[in-house]
Amino acid sequence: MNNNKGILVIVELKDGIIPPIASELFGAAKIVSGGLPRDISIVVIGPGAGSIAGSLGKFGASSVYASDSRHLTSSEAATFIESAIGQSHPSVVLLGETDLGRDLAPILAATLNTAAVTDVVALRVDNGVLIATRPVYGGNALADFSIETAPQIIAVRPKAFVPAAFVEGSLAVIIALPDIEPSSSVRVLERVTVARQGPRIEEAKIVVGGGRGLGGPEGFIQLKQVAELLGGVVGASRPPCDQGWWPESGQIGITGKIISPDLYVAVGISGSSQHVSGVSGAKTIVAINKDIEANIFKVASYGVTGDWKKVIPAFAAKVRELTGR
Amino acid sequence: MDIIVLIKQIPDPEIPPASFKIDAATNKVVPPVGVAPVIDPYSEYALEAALRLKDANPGSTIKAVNMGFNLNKDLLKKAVALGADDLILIDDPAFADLDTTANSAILSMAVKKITRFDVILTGRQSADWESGQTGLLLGSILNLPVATRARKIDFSGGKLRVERVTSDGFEVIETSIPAVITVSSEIGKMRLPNIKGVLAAKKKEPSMWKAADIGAAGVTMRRTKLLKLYQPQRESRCEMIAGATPEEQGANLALKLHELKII
Repeated sequence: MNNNKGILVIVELKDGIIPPIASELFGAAKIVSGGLPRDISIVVIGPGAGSIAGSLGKFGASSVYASDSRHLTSSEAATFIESAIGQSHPSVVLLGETDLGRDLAPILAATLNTAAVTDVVALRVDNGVLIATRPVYGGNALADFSIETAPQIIAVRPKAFVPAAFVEGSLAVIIALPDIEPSSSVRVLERVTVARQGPRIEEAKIVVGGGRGLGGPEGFIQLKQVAELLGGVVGASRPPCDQGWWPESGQIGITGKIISPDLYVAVGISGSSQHVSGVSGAKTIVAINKDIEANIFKVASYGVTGDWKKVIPAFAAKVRELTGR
Repeated sequence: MDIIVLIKQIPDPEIPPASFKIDAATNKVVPPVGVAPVIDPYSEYALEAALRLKDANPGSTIKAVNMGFNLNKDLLKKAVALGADDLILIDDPAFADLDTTANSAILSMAVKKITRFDVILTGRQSADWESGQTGLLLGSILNLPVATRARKIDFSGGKLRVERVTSDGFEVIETSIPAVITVSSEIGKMRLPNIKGVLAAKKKEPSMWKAADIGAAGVTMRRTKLLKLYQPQRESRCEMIAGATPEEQGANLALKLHELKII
């Protein structure tokens, strides 16, 4: 494997701005470089790409390929990226595990006769071999993979990598990607944003999760008040969603949302492996559960064994007192 | 329409984490004794999507395809009990240890042998390896359009209209057929079988294929190497919050989190 070859980072603009995952991708690129100077190129796609491309030099990139196209299907976006790969010949392609990224990784892998590792949470270089770690089996296990073909395609999980610092005064060459023929077989008819109250659960800094132990939908009213008090949002494990106590869209776990908040408060949640895997990225986990044997205490940093109905109001009262909210 | 639904068998994901074991020598999960494999939950969503398409388009057929090694034949009968017309089990020792690339390549060979189909449905990922690549790889190999993470699928005017779940809403995608669609949990839970279905399923024998039947004998196409499979080190030192009553514990918890500047 030739370690002197370049790294290509794919940046997908969100409403014309550079999303946080972009600097995390450059943080990952730093690890991939393994301390060696490696050429970094960028593909930036989405409306506004052409005008924002120049500013991406601050991530230490030598060239930036830009496409302003909007409403691309995943395979059309892949075509743009393939043309940039054809010009820059990277040995590693880094992208985010986003709506588009998780489609792009396998599409690029197939067209370039290589392989992708998705949902990567850690990277390291060992004797010149790039090793990508990803959670599997509902977070019960971690798997270390190497990719034996080039380019190695790595899709990284948001918030898993330390964002890279800017390199001031860096200049990059901007290369506009040529337009492509739109696909005749697939097209995006519309994109609908569903308005929601408060931050998205995947982006919330504080999440309060409710489980079967809440006993019914009423419990979630209390959790919602506590979450609002803390400036956070409410989620749930699978049983309350199955029972209709809480909407499916707020389900945390492998068949729901993967979250990585600063604080996760699990209330009346036993901690099945599929739920725990969805919260393993949380910085601090607090568990409130009557059953001291509950699995959730194995992953929590702080635990309270007691009836949530008594714990939560006292907790909320103290929070109000301490924060003056 | 003719529907192929790809089904996967996996170790039961609902087992308590304490029973989850890995054999470090082989980098494999050791199935807990007495716990049968289950149909992957995402395959169930794909099957439900297939059944809904069949309901909405009378005269449709569903072929449920399961590939792997040492497969449980009876597990798949559930698909027939619910309304699938045919079962194809592709079971071969050669399929015991595949990576995502090899898996999709072999599935594409199976699909080619089936020849006639309008749509291939698969889970958006599996609940064991969770790579989320199979449907897209399959589409690329077969040169078919792919729509991922479907929460709703309609067929009209010879086209498929798919609502694709996104992080902040959904997209409406229109695709020609044949196509590959990966199905998300938002489609809704798999229905339950009725007695008539269960009885019909008992009589139904799956077609049994080997690697050689689909031209996959001796084909090796791994592109990734699994270097190590291991259990994450979890900080199991949970500090229990003191307090004589639950109310006191609750208040102390607030104090603790405030002290740590978390709240």
